[in-house]
Formats: sequence, C-alpha cells, structure tokens
Amino acid sequence: MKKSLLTFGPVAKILAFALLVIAMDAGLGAVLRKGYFSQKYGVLSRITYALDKTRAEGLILGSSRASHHYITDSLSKAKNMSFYNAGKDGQSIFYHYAVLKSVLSRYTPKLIVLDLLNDELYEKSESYDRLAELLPYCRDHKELNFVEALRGPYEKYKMQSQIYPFNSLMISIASGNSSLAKNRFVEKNGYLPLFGKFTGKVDELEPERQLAIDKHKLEVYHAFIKECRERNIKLYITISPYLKVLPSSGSTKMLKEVAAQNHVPFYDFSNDEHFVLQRDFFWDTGHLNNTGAALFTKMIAKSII
Amino acid sequence: MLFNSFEFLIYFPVVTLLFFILPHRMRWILLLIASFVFYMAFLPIYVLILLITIVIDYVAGIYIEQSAGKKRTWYLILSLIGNIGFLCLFKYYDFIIGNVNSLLALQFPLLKDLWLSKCIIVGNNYVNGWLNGVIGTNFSILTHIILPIGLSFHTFQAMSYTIEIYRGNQKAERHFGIYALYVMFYPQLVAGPIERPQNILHQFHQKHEFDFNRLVEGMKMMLWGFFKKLVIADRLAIYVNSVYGNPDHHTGVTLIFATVLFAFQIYCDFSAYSEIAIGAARVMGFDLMTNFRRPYFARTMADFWRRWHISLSSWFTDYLYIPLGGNRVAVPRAYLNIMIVFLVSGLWHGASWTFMIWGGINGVYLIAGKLLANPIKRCYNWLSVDMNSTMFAIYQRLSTFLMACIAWVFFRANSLEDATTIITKMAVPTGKLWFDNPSMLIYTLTAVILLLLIESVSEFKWNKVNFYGSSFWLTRYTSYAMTIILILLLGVFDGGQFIYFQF
Repeated sequence: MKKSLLTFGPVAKILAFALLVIAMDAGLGAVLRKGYFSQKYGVLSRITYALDKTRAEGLILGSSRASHHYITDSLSKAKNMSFYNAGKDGQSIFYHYAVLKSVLSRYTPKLIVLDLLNDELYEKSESYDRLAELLPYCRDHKELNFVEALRGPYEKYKMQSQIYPFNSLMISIASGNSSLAKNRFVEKNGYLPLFGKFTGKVDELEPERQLAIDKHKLEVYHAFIKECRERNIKLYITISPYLKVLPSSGSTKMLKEVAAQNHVPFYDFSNDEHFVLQRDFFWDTGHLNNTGAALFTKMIAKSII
Repeated sequence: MLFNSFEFLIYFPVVTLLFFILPHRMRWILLLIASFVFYMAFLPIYVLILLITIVIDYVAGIYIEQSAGKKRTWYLILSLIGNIGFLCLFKYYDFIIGNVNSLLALQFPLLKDLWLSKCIIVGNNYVNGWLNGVIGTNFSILTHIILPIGLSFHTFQAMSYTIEIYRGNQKAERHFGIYALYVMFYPQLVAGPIERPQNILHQFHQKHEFDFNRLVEGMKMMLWGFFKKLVIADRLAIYVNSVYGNPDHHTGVTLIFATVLFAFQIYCDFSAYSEIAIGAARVMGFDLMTNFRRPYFARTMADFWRRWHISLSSWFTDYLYIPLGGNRVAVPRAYLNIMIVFLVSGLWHGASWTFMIWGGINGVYLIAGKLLANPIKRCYNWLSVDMNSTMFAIYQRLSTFLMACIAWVFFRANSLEDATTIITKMAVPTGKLWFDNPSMLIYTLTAVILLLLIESVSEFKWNKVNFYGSSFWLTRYTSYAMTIILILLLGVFDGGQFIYFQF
C-alpha cells in the first residue's frame, strides 16, 4: 500500500488530493452545521429562531435599532397579541426581506413593523457583506436563493463548500452551544435591552449626503411591500428615533414615496422632538436605551399600531 | 484582477494550462494577452500609460545600446523622464503643488483641474460605460483621477531595464512582445517583486517544460500566500482599520495593540502578494526573486531592511545609494546617502508627509545603528551580557520589532495629526483594551500565533514539525489540505485588495 502511494503519478496525486480536500470539507462542514443549528443561546440562535421557529402574530423587522427599540412584551400586553423582535445588527432591507420570505414559507403573521434606517436605500457594500449571516440557511431554504445572487455571481460556486457558509463562525457556534452566551445575552422575545446613558459627544448637523440609491435595495423594498399586501399583512414602516438632528435624506424621501404609492403607513421618528438630543433616552447616538425604548414602544402601541 | 478574487481562481489554471498546451513560440503572446486582461480588470484606460512607457523604454533601450558618449546619456535621461514623468503626474503632482500652494500662497491648479485629467475621466467613463452596458462588466465610472494600480512597481522595473543597458550589463531586447512582457508579466505587474532584466528577460526566451515538482512548489507558495492574506492580514485589518480610523476614541493600550497588529498585517498582506506572484510564476517555470525573508526575526534594523521588500531595497541600493557614493565616501556623506535613500523610499510608498517621516525614521534607525554599534557593544561587554545567548537574541528581535512598530504608526496613520495623536497616546499607555467581541480578539490572536509558529519553523529550521516539507506523501498533502480548510474556515473573503496596490 505504502509503495503504491509513493509511486502515484501526478494526475492520481492531484485527484487524491482533491478527494482529501472534499472529504475534509464535507466532514467538518457537517460538524459545523450540526453545531450551528443546535445552538440554544447567542446572536446566531436568534437568526435561526426568526427564520425557522417564530410563530408570533406580530413581527418587528429591522437592524440593531429595531432589536433595541421595540419592547415586544409591552407590545404584546398593549395589543393582546404575540410579538417577536427579529431585528439584527448591521443588517439592511435585504436581510429583513429574507426573514419575511422564510416566515411566509411557514405561516402568515398578522402584523409587521419594518424599522428602517434614514440612509437605508443608499449603496453600501456592507449590506451585501453582512448577508453572509444567512448563508447557513441557504441550502435548506429555497426561498433564500436571492441572497446568493446578491452576494455575487460566484457565490453559488463558493457554496459548494460545506465549510464556507460557516466561515468565521466556529467560536460563535461553540459559545452558542455553551452557557457562556446565555449569561452574556439578555433577550425578551427578541428585544435586546441596552442599559446606561449616552455620555459622548453629539456631532453637529451634517449637510445632506448625495449618495446613490441602490437599485437592488429599492427592488427588494418594493417586493417586501408587495408580499405583505398579497398576504393581507398589516405593514407599518418606521424610522425609529436618533439622538442627533439628521439632515433630510434622499433615501427617506424615496422610502416615503414608495410607501405612499402602496398606501402603507410610514412614520419617521428621526428628528422627533421627544427624543432628539435627549441623552437620557439613548445608549449611543443611534440606539435607544431601555428607558428610551419603553417610551418609544408606548408611543408606537398607543398611536400607531 | 485581484489574486484573492474568485476570478483569479479561474484565470490562473486556464492561463497555466494554455501556457503548457501552446507551442513555445506562441507562449509570449498568451502571457502578454493574459497580462493585459489581468491589468485591464482594474481600470482598462490605464493600460495606455503602460503601453506608452513600454514603447518609450523599448526604443530608448535600442538607442542607448547603439549610441555612445553624451547621446547615450541623453537617451537614458529621456527614458527616465518618460517613466518618472508619469509617476510624478499621477502620484506626486498634487502633493508637490499642494505644498507649493500652501507655502507660497499660490493657486496652481491641482491634478483634478488639469485638462488632461478631464480627458482621462471623460475617456474612461465613455469606455467603461460602453463596456458595462454591452458586456455587463462592472468597471468604475470616475469622478476624479485615481492612481494607476502598481504604477511605482512597473515604472521601477522599466527604469532598471534602460539603466542596465546604459551600464552595459544588459543587451537591449529586440523582440517588442518579450520586452512588453518584461514590464507586464502578470504575476508581478502590480505589486512586484521588482525584477531586473538580467534575472527575468532571458527566461521569456527559454522553453519551459511542465514539471510536476515545480507545480507543487509553486502551488505551495501560492497556498501559503493565500493563507497569509485571507486568514491573517485581512483578519487583522478588521481591528486595525477600526482603531486607526478613529484614533481619538481609543486608549493608548488599544493603539499599541493595533500598531502591533498592523505590523503583522502589512507583512502578511505584502509578503502574501509576493508569495502568490512567485508561486504563480514558478508553476509556469519562471523564477522571480525572493522579496521577504521573515523580517520580524531580524536582530537589527539593518538586518530588517535586508529581509523586507528585498527587491525594492536592492533597487534603491543599485540605482540610488551606490550612484550617490554609497559607503565609499566620507562618513557624514555616507550617512546622508542613507537618509536620502530612505526619504526617497518613503516617498515611493506614498505622496504624503507621513510616508516621508516613516522613511526618515528608518533612516535614523540605520544611521544610529552604525553610530552606536561600537559604544553599545562596549556597554554590553562592560555589563557582561552574553551576546550569543538565546535571551539576548530574543531581546534584539523584540527591540527591532518595537522600533519597526513605531515607524509603522506613520505609515498607517491617515494623517500627520492622527500619527501624532497615536504616538502621544502610545507613549503613556492607559485605559482598557478595546474589542468589539471576544471572538474578534480570539481570531486575531490565533492568526498572529499561527503566523509566528509557522515562520519560526522556517526561520529556525524545525524540520520535524515542517509538515509542508515532510518526506511522507500523506503528511505533506494532508497539511496542504488543512491549509485550504483553514482558509475556508477562518479566511476573510470580503477583505478587498492588497495594501501595496496603492503604491
């Protein structure tokens, strides 16, 4: 046996090497997949819960701002229906649409609050990079095919690797399967409270940035509204409060226009007098603390939803 | 085209396969076309700059060889003006004019205001708009002039050709295609190693047979290069960019940590490019010069510069330091020569005062090293320090690394103000170490530890744990496979281009 290995020709060696790589990739990929989907705690298990498990009648979708601004328990109490906050830090309309598609493949929620950024529709490469968080789900969720396409023309080839979807997730997976993440993570039906007041400097008013609107984001925004309308889901689109005064943005204008065309209620709380420059309500310039979130949720429950 | 792009994973095997399929007489055409494609993947219009300098230097080379006396010198000067002219226009014009304007309160037009820039932008946008519309490419539409990628590298390589002919060390290349390939050979076109005609030109005439051992050797180098870039450099860049992007908001401890990480990042980023370039060339049978020899194991700054970016250091030695008189002049003049070389080297890296200061600091290190060598030696002897001990070697390596790190602050800082802030904060390190989340810190430290372990294996020749060089076939191939698995598992795939592309 040893002799035959040593006398392998170049082609046989290349083939054997390729087989070795494929076997190692498949083996480790399977272990990572098993570990990923068995997580009970931490940020990754929240994604799995939002995509695969939640059955809440009301859903909050958005970025980290959504996850820190909407107290689901308060909303449930006020509206007498179940809520889940599926906000995910750093994510854009692409991710929110992916959550919607996955949820709709299982059930139809009654109500969705889509919380967007004031520069949501602008071109930002990180909006595409961050979609990597959805790659572990792409194999078993056909409705998420658009995620691979948005990531680039070669993504479907990269996805042939079983390890690639779990790139840089090894430590998070280990932590999500241990009690470490449980102790670090305070979560109430998806709501992630922030405690403490913002003490830093608030930048002065910046002039409006003339950035290009991302056509893919605009398409997805249209598709999001269309899906909700077709399923008779009551959709509310919001921009939750910021600490600093923000200049008018072309993105927000576009969001409002599209919402108005489709008769979707749109509420812009950026520059809202209750919150703007009120440090006591903020954890940093873009995120409300628990006190601010309580006030904001109360306002939402009382006058909007 | 980026080495760390998916396109290159298709491009490289296709070009290599065609190279060996085609008869020898056709190979230069293939390599030239491949090099055009490689370069034009960045910004097609800039290939015109390359073509103009290629024509100038090709013609100049023949005329230099055929003429004598002053005429010969004039042809060399014309060729150098052609090369340095483009470099000055695209890289240094704004820096020079900006400083002159602010110093003398003048208002000379900046690059963006020149009619040439406007022509380039209009031309680029027309061509790229057409290509994007018809072929579906994604070439940039420019709003302002950007530096042609790798300009300093191919300009220096082109200059070494005419200088060597002038010196009589190299015959002028009569085959225009081969000469064009000397400048454009895709593996080293945009970030070196900066080759000399004596080393590479004759290789384009030679017939290279397929050699499985060279294939394995080349692929091994490429694999290690990809590992360094994707797993180490781009991982460290996440932390370094966060901290250096906002130094005012970070503590001295964090800035020290980020600077140490940047030292490893820039080494891995640049040496990775060199290793992929050398490996890709080796697969096809070409030998490019070594560019790095584990510089952070250097025991003095002079030793560091013998191990860091060797092709550029030797270029400056041959074409600047020695013509200035080198060390065969009075001692003060020799020190001045060192300082000139390092200031120019700083300027080569970028048109800003931070790069000049970086070069200046390194010049001071080398001069101080020479001035203080004997007093320090006497001091160690007086203190009875065993200069052959392992501990002393570790101390020397650490102090050299520390000195390099201080200089790197100026290399990486976004402005002179930022560099001053960073140095001031680092001088009195207080506060907590910042990190976004624990896993970021774990990945970052794992990357550095892996690098140091693997580099130690080569530096100290720990052959028993050198799995890449194991005599067992299975051990060797498993270690290659493990490297691929680690890249898939820990690599940063949205990291972007190599740092040295901008130079």
